[in-house]
Order: sequence, then structure tokens, then C-alpha cells
Amino acid sequence: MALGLPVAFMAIVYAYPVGAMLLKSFTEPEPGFGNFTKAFTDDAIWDVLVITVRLSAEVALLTVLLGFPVAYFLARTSKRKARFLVLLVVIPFWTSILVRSFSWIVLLGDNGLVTTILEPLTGDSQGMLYSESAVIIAMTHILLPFPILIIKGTLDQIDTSLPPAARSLGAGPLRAFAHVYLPLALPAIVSSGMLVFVIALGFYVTPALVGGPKQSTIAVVIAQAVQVNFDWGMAATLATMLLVVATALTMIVRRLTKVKGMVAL
Amino acid sequence: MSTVELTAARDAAARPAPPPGSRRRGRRSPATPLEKVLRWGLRAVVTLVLGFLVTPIVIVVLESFNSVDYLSFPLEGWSLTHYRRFFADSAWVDASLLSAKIALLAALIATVIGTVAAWGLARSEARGKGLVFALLYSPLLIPIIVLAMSYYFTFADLKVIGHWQLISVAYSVMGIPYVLVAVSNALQQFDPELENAARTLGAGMTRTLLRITLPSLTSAISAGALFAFVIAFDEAVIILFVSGSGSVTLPRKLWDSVRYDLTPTLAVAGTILIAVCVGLFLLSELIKILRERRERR
Repeated sequence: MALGLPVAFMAIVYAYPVGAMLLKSFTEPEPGFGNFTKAFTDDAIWDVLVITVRLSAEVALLTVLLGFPVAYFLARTSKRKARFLVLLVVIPFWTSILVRSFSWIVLLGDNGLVTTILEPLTGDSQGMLYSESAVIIAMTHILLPFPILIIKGTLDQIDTSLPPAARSLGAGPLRAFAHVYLPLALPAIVSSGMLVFVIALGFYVTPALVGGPKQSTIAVVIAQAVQVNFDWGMAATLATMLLVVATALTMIVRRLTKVKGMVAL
Repeated sequence: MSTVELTAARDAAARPAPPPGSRRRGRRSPATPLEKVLRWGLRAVVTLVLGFLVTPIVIVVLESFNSVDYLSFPLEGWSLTHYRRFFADSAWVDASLLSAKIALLAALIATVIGTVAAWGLARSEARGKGLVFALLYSPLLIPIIVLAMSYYFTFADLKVIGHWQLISVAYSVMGIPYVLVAVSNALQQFDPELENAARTLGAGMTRTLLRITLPSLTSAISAGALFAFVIAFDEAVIILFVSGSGSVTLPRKLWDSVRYDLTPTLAVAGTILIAVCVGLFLLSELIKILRERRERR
């Protein structure tokens, strides 16, 4: 059967490594739930979890707020114009996260473009690199294409004659938008926000490069556990926790809407 | 507003159906001042957000042409110094070539496995189909740091850290979902009767596959392969743990250098990553457009 080869391949080179990693959270350094008790009673880990969740929520909110107007515009403008403007969203999307983070180091650093522009306003020639704002700006930039493309996909399918219909029945432009258009777009808005939240939870490169020690997300701490403390058990435990939360949230998103993969974008 | 009302009004509003594509602004109803303000406000927001998206990319490319040894904006002057420096430094060149080699093998594996899986799923009636799809698709949803830990532990346990072929295998896993979805979508539009027809006319199974099925899937397969290549070419998390000292790829080298010293040479590396990935993406779009044209004829 044709499925034997792919399944065997995935079992050996994917399911096995992930399974072995999960197992390590219960067996390293000794069998039992020791790692999980340690993680849940450690104040430093709690702080990291709080920072990670807060950062991800802020980024999710920002990407949706910034993304919706763009998606709305793209869905309603002419086909030819939309095709060109979508490229401006997709090209950053296909640019390596590392390169985009590097660019924000340049932009937000001392004497960077953003710092120079803001200097007359803030009177501060120091960059905002290695701060929470820097991480939020860079992560918002990196994740913004997701809501734009997902919401646009839904808006494209909304019957364009609905808002004029509401208008002809006497609704003002704002009311027509809020009562007719927005409810139809809401599932895509919510699910794309949740998707960004899940992806942001596991972000490593950006917080590690653009953030300081106070912006250590769970992924940064996982990497440190391995590279600095050589604590495989703790790294595996935190990774297991991240995987469980991410999987649960992803399944909820998929229940809520039929957002199919990133490939169809 | 009730649904009935809305439906009736929609039909009324849709009646003088405008020819598609020729919808001109302001033709439908005269815009109120409020609408004009909203429209211009929307344009301003969209322009700003798109500018925000594009600026960092443009900055990296511009900085790579800077004539001085430090990153500055506006540029001090234009020059190709840093490109010369990049291509004269064997560490950067080797890293680029290694990235290409790893990505090529990863794309090859992902394409074969993904295509076979898509074909198998489309032709199978088995009950476990959904589960198999989930297994093949899940690498797209799993946080990369979790994958990185999984491969780091396995590579370390087996003492194979730094083996580029195995890094390719790990990367191919991340490319499989893209190939799977691309080929599955194409197979949905492929008429299975064509296969049956070929079989009735006496073609064997292999011959049918090679002469009938595969040729109609080439553009989907190549799009999937390009995605898989791009994913592997600029992967920057797993490599931090499994590269050892032997497999320093371009993203790995860029990561190491960013933390050490910021020079326009890094912008050259960034520009090369952008050029390869965006170039291949545009290529896949081109393939798609050409296929659509051919199908319309």
C-alpha cells in the first residue's frame, strides 16, 4: 500500500524523536514527575510563563487590529490591485524570521532609523532594543501576515452586495459594517488571533535576539536549560508543556473555524 | 434587521449587476462625507501597515550596499565592498553552499514522501486516513523549539550531531506538509477516470502513474518542492542545536555573527537569504499563473 512508506518514514524520523523527547521529561534525571513538580513550584519559571503568555496575547491583539483593515481593503479593492498589494504581505512572510529580527536590531538600535525618527519626540537617542516594546514590535511584524491573509480569505467569500443591501434599508455605513459585515468576519478574526497567539508562545529567535533577559520566553528558557545548564530533563519538561498547550489551542482553533493550513494562502 | 429583509434588499441591490472587474467607485451611490472620511482613513491605515511590513526588508537590502563598515541609515554611500568581502570569505561561501546542499536533499525527500502520501491518501478508503493525514501535517503546527529539542536529544543520543544528511532528513519532515497539501489539492481536481481509461487501454500500473497521473501533477509537485526547499534553506532554530561545528549553515553563521558584531556583511547574508526565498516564491507563483493560463485555453 502506498501509505506504508510515508507512515514508516514519519514514525522513524518524526514520531520517534518527539516521543523520546516527551519521555525524557519523565525519565531525566530520574523516573517520575519530579521535573513537573519542580517547574510548577519554581517562581522563576512562573515568571517566564506569565511573560510568554502576556507577550503572545499582546502580539495577537496587535496583529489582528493592524491586520483587519488591510484584509478589509484587499478584499474590496480591484483584483489586479489586490494581487500586487498581497505581494507586499507575502514577501515579508517568506523572508526568514532570523533576517527580519536582524533588521529590527538595526532599526531599533542606537542610531537606528526608528530611534532617529523618534528622537525629537522622546528626546532619547538610545534605542529601545532589548526591551519588551522591541520584542512586541518585531514579533508583530513577523506574525502580521497570518491574520491579513486568513481574514482576507474569509472576507473574499462574503457577498459584496450585503453591505449595500443594509444601506438601502437605512443603515448608516458604520452600522452596516458593524451589524452585517463584522459578524461574518468574526470567526476568521478570532481564529487568526488565536493562531498568532499559539505561534508566538513558541517563538525563540526574536525574543532571544531583540529582547533582554527580562523578555525570556519559554522557548528562550528551554534553550538555556540545554545550552547553559545542561538540564535535559527541565528542557524536555518545558517543551512538553509548550507542546501540550499549543496542541490544545490549535485543536480549539480548528474546531472554531475551518482555517486550513498555511499552504493555501 | 431580519434575514428575510436583508435577503430581499440584497437581491434588489444586486439587480443592476455590474460587469465584474469594471466596478467603479462612486457609481453605486453618492458617497456621504462620513463615508469619504472613513475611506481615506482606511487608506491611510493600510498604507502605514504595508509600509511597516515592507520597511525592514528594504532596509536589509539597502544596508548591504553601504560603503562603510558599520550599519547606518541613511547610507553613507553606495558600494559593493561588502558583497566582495562576503564572497571572498570562505566561511560565508561554505555556509551558503552547505545550506543549498541541505535544502536540496531535504526538498527531494519531502517531495517524494509528500507526493506518495498525497497519492496514497487520495486513492485509499482505509479508516485510518484522517490519522495518517494528521501525522503528516502536524509538523506544521508543532512549535519549532519543541522539534529542535526532539532532534537535539535524538542526535546527541545517537552521537550524530553535525551530520548534514541527517539534518536534511529532519528538515524534510517540515517540508512534507507543504508538498502534501499542494499535491492533494491538485489530485482533487484530477479525474480518476483518466487512470481507469489508461488501465483499460492496456497500460500497466507503473506506466499509468508515469504517463498519466504524474504529468498532470508536475506544477503542484514543483510548488511543494520549492516550499520545502525554502523552509530548509532558512531554518534557524533546529540548526542552533544540531549543527555542531561541522554543519554551519547560512542562518547558523548569521545567528552567530549577529550576536558578535553588526556589519553590513551580515546584511549581505540577509539579502541572499531574502533573494533566494522570495525568488523561489515568485517562481512558484509564476508556475501557478502559467498553469492557470494553460487550463483556461
